[in-house]
Amino acid sequence: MKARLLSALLAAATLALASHSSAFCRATTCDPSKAACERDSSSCLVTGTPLFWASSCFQVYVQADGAPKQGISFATAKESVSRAFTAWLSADCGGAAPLIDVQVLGPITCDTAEYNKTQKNANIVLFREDEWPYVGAEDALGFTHLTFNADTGELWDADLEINAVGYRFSVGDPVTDNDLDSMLTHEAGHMLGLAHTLVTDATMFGKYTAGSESQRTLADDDVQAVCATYPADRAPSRTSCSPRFGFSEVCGSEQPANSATDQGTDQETAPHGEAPRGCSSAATAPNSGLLWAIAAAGCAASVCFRRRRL
Amino acid sequence: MFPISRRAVLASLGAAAGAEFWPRVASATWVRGMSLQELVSRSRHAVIGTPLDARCLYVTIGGRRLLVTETRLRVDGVLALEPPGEDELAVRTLGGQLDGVGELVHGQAELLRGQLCVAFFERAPNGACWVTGMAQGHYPLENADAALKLRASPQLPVIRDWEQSAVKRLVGTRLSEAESLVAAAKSR
Repeated sequence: MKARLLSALLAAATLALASHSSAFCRATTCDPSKAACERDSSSCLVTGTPLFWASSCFQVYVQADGAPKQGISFATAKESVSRAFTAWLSADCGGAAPLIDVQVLGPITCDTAEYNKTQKNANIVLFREDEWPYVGAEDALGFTHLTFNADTGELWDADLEINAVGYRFSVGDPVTDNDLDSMLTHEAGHMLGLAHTLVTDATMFGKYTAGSESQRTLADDDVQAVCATYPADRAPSRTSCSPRFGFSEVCGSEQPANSATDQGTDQETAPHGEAPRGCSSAATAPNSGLLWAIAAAGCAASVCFRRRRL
Repeated sequence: MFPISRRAVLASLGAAAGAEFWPRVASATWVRGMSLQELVSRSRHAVIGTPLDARCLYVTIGGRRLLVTETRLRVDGVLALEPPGEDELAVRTLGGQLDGVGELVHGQAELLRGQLCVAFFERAPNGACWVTGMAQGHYPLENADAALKLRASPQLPVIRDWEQSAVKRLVGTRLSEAESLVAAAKSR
């Protein structure tokens, strides 16, 4: 009887540790078309340079239209985007906030998620209500597009497109469809340069249950992620919050050619000083090594078992 | 020492192994989990293939100039759907790197050079080939237990309705079993 109980406890403990391994991940520059993007036991990319904002702040503009067919006004959308970033910026990094600020602004008239190489830019959150043009991605509720320096990992632009053509979103409580705040909080994590985690209660976990609001609130793993990416004592290598080449409220197609200024490029990025590693593991966090250690303990117990039987 | 049964040992080893080989999810977009039936009915081709090489280029989609990666995929076999009629397919995925600029769109299929996979494809009106459902339509194959088995694509998106999804249905199955499942879904 005791043996059965121990069997169950051992297996349950192992499974529990497996489903709660704590190891946040960061997006990196690794390009799978050029090299194998290797991952560690927590599924974090270990190839490439982690993505990050070089300045201590950046601006996000909410598109002017909102999603009128769903009754989501610009003001409502902006409040939701603000709540999403506030969740990240108010993380407690040992008595200090992460050294990154996000200014949620708008309305902006440009309704295209784009990065202009010779013109002004804007980081935009927008709803698409008339057309979702991505073949093969009709099931996507939203896309975060990140543009970055492929050598240094410095983020240059981040846009979020929300697919309001095929999906309904609810704002606030009660959650009746897809919770906009949960989605925005998760996507804000991506805009900050984070990738998915295997920690099931984290905002950056890779599954969502319709009607749930749990991903509005950061878990410890998320806090560790944002604090490690933007530690309070880091030295930002840029000072401007402006989008790269300056801000424009109209899209590139409506701007003069070569409208770029030196805004947002005030200093070249210094080497980031981080090891080319995509994620970190909390010192106290269980990881797959521990899982195998438990399995090894099981093996040792097996030896004990066999000796008793002999 | 406490007496511990063989079951305890096997259960702990099984749990640890399960944790190691359970599909890993990485960075993501949010998607509705497609059922296998939907994945099959939306796809024009379903192939067993090997990515050979890739290039990045800018294309205009929905009025926006986007970086895409075009991967040359050798067709090694065909599942139940329409054969592509070509030995190679040029498969597009969003994102890539060109001239020092990188673009990342979370949740794309990650077609690694030389990595055998099962993949489902749609055709755009201009004939371009895209992976159906992004990473939901891409399954790297690995040798396990003396058989080829389907794994989850590394950049699997956030999946809503996971329990009903094709990914849950297909990951971990043997290739022969997956072929049968696709054929059955097609005939429904």
